[in-house]
Amino acid sequence: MSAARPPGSPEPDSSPAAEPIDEQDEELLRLLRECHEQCDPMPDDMIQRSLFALAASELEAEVLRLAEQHAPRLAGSGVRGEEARVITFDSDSLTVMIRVSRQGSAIRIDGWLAPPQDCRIELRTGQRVLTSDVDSEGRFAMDGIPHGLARLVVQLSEPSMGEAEKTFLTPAIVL
Amino acid sequence: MTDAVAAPERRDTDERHERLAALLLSAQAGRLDSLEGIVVELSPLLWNVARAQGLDREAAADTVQNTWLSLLGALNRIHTPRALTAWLVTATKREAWRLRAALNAELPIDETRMNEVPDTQPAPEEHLLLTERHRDVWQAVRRLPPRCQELLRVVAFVRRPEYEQVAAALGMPRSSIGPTRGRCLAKLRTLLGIDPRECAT
Repeated sequence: MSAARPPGSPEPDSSPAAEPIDEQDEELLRLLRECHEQCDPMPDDMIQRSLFALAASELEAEVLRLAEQHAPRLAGSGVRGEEARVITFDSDSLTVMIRVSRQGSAIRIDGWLAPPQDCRIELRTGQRVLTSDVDSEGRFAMDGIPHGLARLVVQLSEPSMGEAEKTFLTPAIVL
Repeated sequence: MTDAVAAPERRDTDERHERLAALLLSAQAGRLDSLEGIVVELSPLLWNVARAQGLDREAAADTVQNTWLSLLGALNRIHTPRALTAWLVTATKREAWRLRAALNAELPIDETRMNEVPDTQPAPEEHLLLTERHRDVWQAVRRLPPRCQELLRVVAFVRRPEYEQVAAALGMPRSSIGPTRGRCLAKLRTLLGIDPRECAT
């Protein structure tokens, strides 16, 4: 830590600017970095926004379109917090339907994928990535999801012959 | 690599460098999560580049986002992590200028906007700064010429092997920082009394 003066003192006639960068310089830069991080931090959602923007234009992935969205209001339903929303995404070769429901202070998703196939499904939120397996009937579920923007990523683990690994993305949705 | 015993800082730098190289390769192969890894790794640097160009926080965040989008088209022409960092710094700076020009054209004389401009270099609440040492460094940096402030702000967010390329990407003279300390850091040390023999007064 306490970097004492290096014993070999520099050439008396050399300009300090021409000397190699030393530990003290690194230390000054670290302090300066911490000042900027403290005083002018990145907006919390900047990385998230960049990732969503990238995902939308991701070259290799096929974007699933938002096909349908239902938010049934169960009038008179006595069950508190039972506001489920059903969202369908589709493309030519894949359809994903999710049912979004509240679970305490978090969110739960129950999903179906058609046609059922061997794949890995991820839910990406700004903070973390949740993954789920898909069963033989195309069902998957995730819970403990934080509120906020999220999107699903479906990666087919066994692409059809000759094809590269295929990825599908949904647009970002607010959970 | 050349040293038998690498300093911890150097090892850390090498590991980060290798990780970035691996992310770059796999992003080029179309892996979304690798591209995301690069975004997470380098966004803090790009934020500081954009802010050092005098953009307000909102415009700076837009600039960073646009820079990442523009990377998609260039990704396969970039072959090393150093080139990636330099490319991104250049692109951010260019995008910041473009956006600033667009904003200025849009709002020729908007007083409220004008009032936001001093936002360029953050005037931090000094009590927010972590330690007295931080406050000393901060006050000394603010006495440097603007070009030096810009350079040091950005360089503070890159690792040593990338200093030179990043300085070049910012349009700074080759000798401004790199293997050698350069004028800005030397001045900062003088202001902080690290090199007493250099104190003119």
